[in-house]
Amino acid sequence: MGDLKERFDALSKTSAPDLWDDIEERESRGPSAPAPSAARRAAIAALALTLAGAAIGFTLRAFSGSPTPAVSPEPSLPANGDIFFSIGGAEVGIAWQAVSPDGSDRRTLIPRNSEVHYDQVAWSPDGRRIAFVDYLVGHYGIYTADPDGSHIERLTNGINDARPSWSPDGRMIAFSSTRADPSVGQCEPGDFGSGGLDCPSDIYVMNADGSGVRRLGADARPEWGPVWSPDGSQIAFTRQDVGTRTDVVLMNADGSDGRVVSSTPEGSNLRPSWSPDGSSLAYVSIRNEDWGIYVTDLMTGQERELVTNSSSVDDPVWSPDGQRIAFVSAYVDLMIMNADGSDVRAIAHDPNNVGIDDITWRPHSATEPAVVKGELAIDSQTIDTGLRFPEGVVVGESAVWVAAGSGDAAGGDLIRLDPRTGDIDARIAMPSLPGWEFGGAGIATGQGSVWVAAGGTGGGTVLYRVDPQTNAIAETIHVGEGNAADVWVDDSGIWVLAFPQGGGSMNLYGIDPATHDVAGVVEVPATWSQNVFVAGGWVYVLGNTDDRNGAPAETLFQIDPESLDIIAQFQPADGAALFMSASSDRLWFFHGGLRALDATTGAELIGPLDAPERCCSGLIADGDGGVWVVSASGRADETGVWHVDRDGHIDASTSSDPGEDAEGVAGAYDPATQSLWIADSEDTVLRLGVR
Amino acid sequence: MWDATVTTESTTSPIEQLYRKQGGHLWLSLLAFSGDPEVASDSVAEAFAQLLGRGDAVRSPERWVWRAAFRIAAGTLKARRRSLPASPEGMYVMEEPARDLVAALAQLSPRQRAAVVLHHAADYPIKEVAAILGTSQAAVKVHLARGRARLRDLLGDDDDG
Repeated sequence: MGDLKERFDALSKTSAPDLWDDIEERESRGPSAPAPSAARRAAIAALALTLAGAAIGFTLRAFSGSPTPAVSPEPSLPANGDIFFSIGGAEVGIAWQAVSPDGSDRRTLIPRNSEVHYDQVAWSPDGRRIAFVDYLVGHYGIYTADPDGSHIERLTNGINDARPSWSPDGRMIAFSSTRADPSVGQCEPGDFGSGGLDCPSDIYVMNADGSGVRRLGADARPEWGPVWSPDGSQIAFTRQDVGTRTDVVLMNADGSDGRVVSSTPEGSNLRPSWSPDGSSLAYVSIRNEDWGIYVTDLMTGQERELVTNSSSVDDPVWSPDGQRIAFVSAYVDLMIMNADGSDVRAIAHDPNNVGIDDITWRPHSATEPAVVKGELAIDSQTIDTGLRFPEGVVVGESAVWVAAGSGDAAGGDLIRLDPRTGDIDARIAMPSLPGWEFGGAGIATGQGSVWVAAGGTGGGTVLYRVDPQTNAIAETIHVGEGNAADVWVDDSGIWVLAFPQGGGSMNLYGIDPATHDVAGVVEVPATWSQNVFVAGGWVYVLGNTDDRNGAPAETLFQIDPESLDIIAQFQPADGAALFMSASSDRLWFFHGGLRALDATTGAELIGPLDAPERCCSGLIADGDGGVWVVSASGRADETGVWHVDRDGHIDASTSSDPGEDAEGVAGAYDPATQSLWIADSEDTVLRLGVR
Repeated sequence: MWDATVTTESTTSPIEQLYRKQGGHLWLSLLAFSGDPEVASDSVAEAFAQLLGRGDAVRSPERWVWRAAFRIAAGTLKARRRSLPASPEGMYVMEEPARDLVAALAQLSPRQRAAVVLHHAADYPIKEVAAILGTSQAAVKVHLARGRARLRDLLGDDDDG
């Protein structure tokens, strides 16, 4: 593919190290976690040989800094809570999200499709209210609301009223505005690339109910972005100086004694943030087109650099304990670092690549906001299975069951999870599992048992029946040759799909539900399949075949469970992907949009639906004829979770990002706990609470 | 596509033969996948060591070791929480067009990245990519289409195929 091929060709010229000695050394140590090794040494040696002097674009000095010595937080400063930020922009809408400082528990608090346009959200110090800006025509101004978006109160109506900042006692709100000149149209001071050069903004304060608006200071130059000092005595802000140059300025809270505290002849300083002890200001500095984050000690006036030589950083905000600083990098990544600039890491990314802004870092004790009604919230939990390769997950028999290969042997564990807490209640050792080598889910619940189809150790395809009362293997059924790919169990029967010995067509075994003997076998002309299910009275196998041109294509085989005849095949003419999930009477799949077929007649019932346009990490049946559509992060066009009811109505969705873990290999829905369980391809299981 | 076979003296061990034949290709693919030569080396070494430990229990050693190595690399990257694009130091082992490519690959989802690397770099057919990644051919096709489109946007390249 054109230039891409040339780039891969260039990559192929890179020298690979010889790792064989390291491989033998590791093997002699036996299966264990990778340790620092000759491989590392070889890589370093390769580095030393090829190290070039050229710089690449993304080099922040602080990224390679040494870790900060541990320093206990000041006793008077609170522990860090979650970080809140706005995400998105005009084209996709703005949402308000939160994330833990370690990057976990990311969630949407105000969705991008909410009726009210929430921007520049600022917490009141007691966590009971938020202030925000609405830029939409007819709604201009600053508002306050409860953190769940309810009880909205409009405080101002100026076209450029912006950047509300609460006083530490919660009684006042500072903001910037162009209200002194009513002829001024919508503009954004500091956004010099889009008309903000002539945005005559000034600093104002008002009571928290919107009364008593008054201007602070009398400087004629544009001023914006006020932030109160922790003791409430001063306000820091940005002032436009000459041309597009800006300074960080301080004044007393009554508007007196305005003075520049940070200025650079090489460019601009802007967006100040107070350290929680009030001793320092962090800010963005643009010097000769290089962006950085700097800190000035207000007692000594000494400036130090934390991040330099970046293409874009913005919105530095100190943590409540004063030990960390959050900021935005490259417009779309939320980062945190130690307050000395070391240990920089990304904790959130805008999958739409539009922007992250307006960071607020709350103390740990702050009140958690509720979720806005009308949209799904994702409440996620990651469960470490302790094994590297969880492959299958099912919900049934009052538990969540995960089949996970150990990676160190042909076997693995069947892991029983508590559906409410995610706790691991039991581990049942499996002599063999199919998943590790071939990726089959191979797990089902039904007829009062948990069933694991397995193989791969030379003993052919076997089916283990696990008793959920004892959490032990109650029966081992020898099904046939080859290696298991999948299993389906319901009241009417047991079906095991298996790879044949030595290649060729797949075998579908019908197991007598009473005797557990093999009652029959169907040769399914698929080259590869991991998906058998029963719906509408038919057995279906979704497998791969070669189309008439020899290219791989997905085919759905419909099989009569009585005669074991293949009675129909469905293959999209264009070779399109079929992501399929079956309910009792519907087959959901993507082909030019989400569609549903009547599982009994094959008639098209629904589709294609408008949104999402394409699939997704997976379709997960909801047990009631509908389906969940899950898309993992990194897919700008379709991040989120949707629910489509059995009639094809999209009745719930979320704009929040379910995270990379949602790109798993298998999923199941538990209606009792309103949770989606997704088996990752590495070592974890993700629970997405969707309510 | 690759021309990076590790060359040393021949050996009678089938797994070492496999390493001599595939190790360089696998390492380069993992470098493209992870952007980090250290991750590539650790993953290759660990996967082959595990393969040695399993011996005859693995029926398809080549497919197995590719899959194991990609999973180990993915696990390592995940443990790091993919905090940043590939480490700048590690990028210097590559020529500049390759560095740009790897930096762009880092912005794809892991599955897209793995599919693109295995298909376009390691030259595996879609069916084999699906087997290595433990997913369906249909899913691989989708990952490839989206991954290529994203790379095209990121790199400003023409996609003629």
